[in-house]
Amino acid sequence: MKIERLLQINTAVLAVTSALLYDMGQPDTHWSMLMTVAAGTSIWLTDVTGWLRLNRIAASIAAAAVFLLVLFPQLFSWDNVLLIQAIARMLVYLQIVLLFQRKERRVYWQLIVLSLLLLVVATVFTQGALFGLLMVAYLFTALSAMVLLFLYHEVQLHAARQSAARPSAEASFFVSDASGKIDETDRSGREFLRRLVRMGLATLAFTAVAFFVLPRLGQPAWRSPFQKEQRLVGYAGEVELGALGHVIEDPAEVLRIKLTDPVAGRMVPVVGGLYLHGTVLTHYADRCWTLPYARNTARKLRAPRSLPRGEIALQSIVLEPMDRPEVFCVQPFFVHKDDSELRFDPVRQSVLRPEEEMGRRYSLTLQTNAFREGHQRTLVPAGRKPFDPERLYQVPRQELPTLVALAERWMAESGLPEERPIDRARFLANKLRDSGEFEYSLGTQRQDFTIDPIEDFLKNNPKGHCEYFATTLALMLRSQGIPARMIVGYKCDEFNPLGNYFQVRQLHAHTWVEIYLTPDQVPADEMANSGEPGAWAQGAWLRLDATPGSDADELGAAGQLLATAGKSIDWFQYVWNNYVMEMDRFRQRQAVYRPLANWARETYIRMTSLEWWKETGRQILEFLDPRHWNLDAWFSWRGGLIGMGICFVLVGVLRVARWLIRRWRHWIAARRRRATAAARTDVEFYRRFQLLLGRRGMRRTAGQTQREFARSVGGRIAAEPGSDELVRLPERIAEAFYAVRFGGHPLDKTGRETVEQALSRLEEVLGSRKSFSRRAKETVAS
Amino acid sequence: MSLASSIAKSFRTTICREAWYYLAVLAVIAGAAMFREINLLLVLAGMIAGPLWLSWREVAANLRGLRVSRRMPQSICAGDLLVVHLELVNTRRRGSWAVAVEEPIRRAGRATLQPGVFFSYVGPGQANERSYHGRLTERGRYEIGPVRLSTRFPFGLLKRTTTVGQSESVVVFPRLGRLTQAWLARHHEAFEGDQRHQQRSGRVEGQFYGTRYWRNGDSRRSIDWRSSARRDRLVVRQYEQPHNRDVALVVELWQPVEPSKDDQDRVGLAVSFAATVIADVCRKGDARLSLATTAAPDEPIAGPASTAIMHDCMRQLAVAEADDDDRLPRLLESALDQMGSGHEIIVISTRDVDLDDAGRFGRLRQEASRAAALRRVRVISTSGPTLARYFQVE
Repeated sequence: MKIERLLQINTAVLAVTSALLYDMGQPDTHWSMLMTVAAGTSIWLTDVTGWLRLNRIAASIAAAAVFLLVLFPQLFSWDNVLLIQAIARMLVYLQIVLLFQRKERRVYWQLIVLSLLLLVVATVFTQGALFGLLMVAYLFTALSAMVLLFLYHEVQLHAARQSAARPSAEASFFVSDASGKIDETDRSGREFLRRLVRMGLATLAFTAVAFFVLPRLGQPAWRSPFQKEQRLVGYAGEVELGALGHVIEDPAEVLRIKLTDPVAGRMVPVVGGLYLHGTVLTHYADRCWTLPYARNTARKLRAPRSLPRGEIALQSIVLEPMDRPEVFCVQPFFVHKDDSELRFDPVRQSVLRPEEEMGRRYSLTLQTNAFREGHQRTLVPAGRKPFDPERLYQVPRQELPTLVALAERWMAESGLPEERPIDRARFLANKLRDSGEFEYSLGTQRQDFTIDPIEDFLKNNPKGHCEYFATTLALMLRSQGIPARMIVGYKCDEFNPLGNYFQVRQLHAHTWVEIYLTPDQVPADEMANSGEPGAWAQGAWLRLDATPGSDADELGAAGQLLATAGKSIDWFQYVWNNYVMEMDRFRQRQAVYRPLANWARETYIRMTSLEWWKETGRQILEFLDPRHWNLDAWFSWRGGLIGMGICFVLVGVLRVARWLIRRWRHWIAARRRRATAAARTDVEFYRRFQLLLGRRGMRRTAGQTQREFARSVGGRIAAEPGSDELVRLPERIAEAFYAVRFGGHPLDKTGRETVEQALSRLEEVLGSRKSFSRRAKETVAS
Repeated sequence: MSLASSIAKSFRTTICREAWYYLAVLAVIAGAAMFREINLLLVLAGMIAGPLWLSWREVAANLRGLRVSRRMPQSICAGDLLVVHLELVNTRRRGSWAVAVEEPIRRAGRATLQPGVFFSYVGPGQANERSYHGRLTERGRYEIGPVRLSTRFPFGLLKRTTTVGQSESVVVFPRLGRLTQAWLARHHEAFEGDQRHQQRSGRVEGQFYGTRYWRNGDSRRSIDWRSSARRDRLVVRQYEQPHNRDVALVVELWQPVEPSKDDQDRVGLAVSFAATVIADVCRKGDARLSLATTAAPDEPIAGPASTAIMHDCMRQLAVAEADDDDRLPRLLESALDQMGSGHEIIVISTRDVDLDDAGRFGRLRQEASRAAALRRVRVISTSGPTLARYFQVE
């Protein structure tokens, strides 16, 4: 395909891509569709057939009209967003006008620049990871267009030079042959593609390095004007039963949480789901769970005086922009330092972020000791006694006769004494969850609107979601004298193995129950295992979850594949959001500068540590030990790896050797050249000698050596009267020449002076004798 | 002639005009990105800066491992077509794109020509050849080269240039004209007197130089029966008549200190006429040729007419420069002394020459032998109308 056609298609694709990128950030636009139609039409009508080509005047008029109709009305608008959108529209229209012009270098450049400007506008509006992927596609297209445009221009340039050098009879001229053609072989096409891919990848690498290393000024990263904080639909500060109809599971992201071991730096493996604490609700009345007497008691979160014992894990949380300040985290938690901007509400037992940060993605790190052997503990120490203990026993018995009766019946069935509240509570929870009488459902629950929804749930429609199960359990426990409260938060089991984090979505919103245990009710073995019995002085909270699991089908192979793909996309989005979109000064320091500095420091320490070298050497030797090679098997991974390593090392050694030999050869050649040049410089005097005699008609013949020539010249000089002193001079010069040229001895100062004097004398004498030349010739002739 | 050189180490990278525009766009976008902390714009700025960095790498890599060689004639006549072949060899494992090869063609005191060729692609290990052609309308010694390789690949933002090898010289011989019939007749007449006394001996005179098919009028004695039998057609032998056509040219290139256009034209005409006569004599052969010019009085050329001596003469005439010194008497004296009686001595001068001028040539007339030889000297001046009778410039 001709290079020009490729260029036309390339610029058209570039225009479409930029329009598509712009569309991605707009709520409802279709500029990419319009541009696609225009680009396709222009390629056919303008570039291929040439049926429609706007001349420059028509194009200028169209461009002016675009400016007046699209941009001008918005120029005086106070709304910056509208103004930027108008600019984008204008850029789209201008590109369309240009697409229908006859393509010249100017038009191509304008199209590339306009598409770039549209991309600049698009970056203001867009945030998604897909935008990043499409930017990569734009990059490759733009690189291709630029290279093609360059080649097209170079060919034109040389063709123009050729036509400028018109043959003329008067003046000299030169014309190059076949300069107006491009070698469009298969080989060049393949290499062009390879080179393009390499350049694209190199540009991406360069971009990544520049992006992460370039220091930020310190203000928060830009957010799209269209991006608002999302509303938490699954989570609320209060729970009203039956208010929701059919619950729709919203997959919108709420947060990501990553658990790492602060010492080893590795991920902390977690079995089962994570319970992320949101807020506490203690009062149930009129089918509503609330927190009475709630007031703003939040205070700055402070580090504990002494770090709790046990397995400490770091929980790194990235919260999406939300309309609520709660930070959902694993409890118990604590901060390492007092400089945190987080607050803690002891009544709600909620961690709160600054309200001004609600509109942006927020990252924080907390510590926790809630995990033991990969399990989130169900029993955790209460940091303080319940704020309103009487409330934990509150139950509207008159409105819930069925519930109370059922609880009593189940307790009677269990036969557990009141002194064992933990067992009694667990029995009720298990019974509710596993008896099979009650079913988990997101569908409409209420059938009888005259009674409490829980009564309705227990009597008429034993189907419900977590709120029903948690409420039932909490009220049953209270009816049996066990203090209980409702916890609202998230339960997440969606682990992303690529990023080693839990992805929490709106659909993971959950409620569960916690019962309060006085210190004397806490099991002794639990206290002993914790290693700090004092921590239980204020009692403990036991988590109970009565919600049965959903009956979702097992995923098939295709489903697994889709799930993996979904996780990959999710991970990419996570990386994009965390390391691109939210890369501000703080994040840069945290994610780039500090790890780099740590790495450099650790590397330095390792490299300067003898122990490390010894250990590394020992590991290598152990790895190389053939006893571990599994020689009995037909293939040994270790052997294969070592073989490959040896091959690589050999190739490297060969390459280095070849490079060294080349360098050595170059060095030798350069030295020879220098020596030859020096020799030439030194024999310069002989050249002058020959020139001097040549002007007098005496030339050395091809078969004559320098010495023979000097003797013959001496003979001619001797024929002249009064020239005895000159006879020996040519031979002296010849001797000096031999010494320099073949003896490799440059003239010293005395030698140079002698030769210079001889040459001057010869020049003086031969120059003064006008007839010398003629006589010399006569001598030669005779 | 060929010149093979690897790329020299002296590279030079310059920023093209397009790169300044590019940098301006980059500065605006990077500034906006930094100022407003728009991370996507910063990514875009990186993507724009990347090609600039790539350009710097690619232009350097694109010229690495290239060898260039040139083929061209050592000499041509002025106005003749000069074709120069340039071969670019890529010794690397990567192809080279968009390499422009230029080489200056210089002559002292004249504007430099800058012909060049463009190699759009030279594959790895491949050799591509391009050529340029043209005409050099003035005689002289021209320096061609050194070759300058340049590339702006891949984006045209940066330009990498390097100079390769050494320059070569090409000698542009004087433009050849056409000798008229009058010249040939006079030239023939001039020799007739000398040759008239020569006796013809043998049935066929001269040296054998070839055969041709028999034509009506050919003597039967000239038929080569053996060749005729072989070719089944009558073939006759041809013999060259051994005439003595020795010619000595003495060219006086004189012009005033501040020459006018006419003066320069006269010099050019004299050189061109002398060259044409030399070419004619050498083409015919069987003669001795001598050339002495006032431009190089100490370097007379003499020898049997042949291609080699023609080239020597042409080379001398090509670089012969006119001046205001009057060297003709001395040159003529030397020529008369060296030339035998069989030589026709032709003085070609850019001004009128009066051999009877005692002031200029009095010394020549003092000796009887020289005075006699002087009578055989024919003077042709390019300032007068005589030349037009003998010579036409094509």
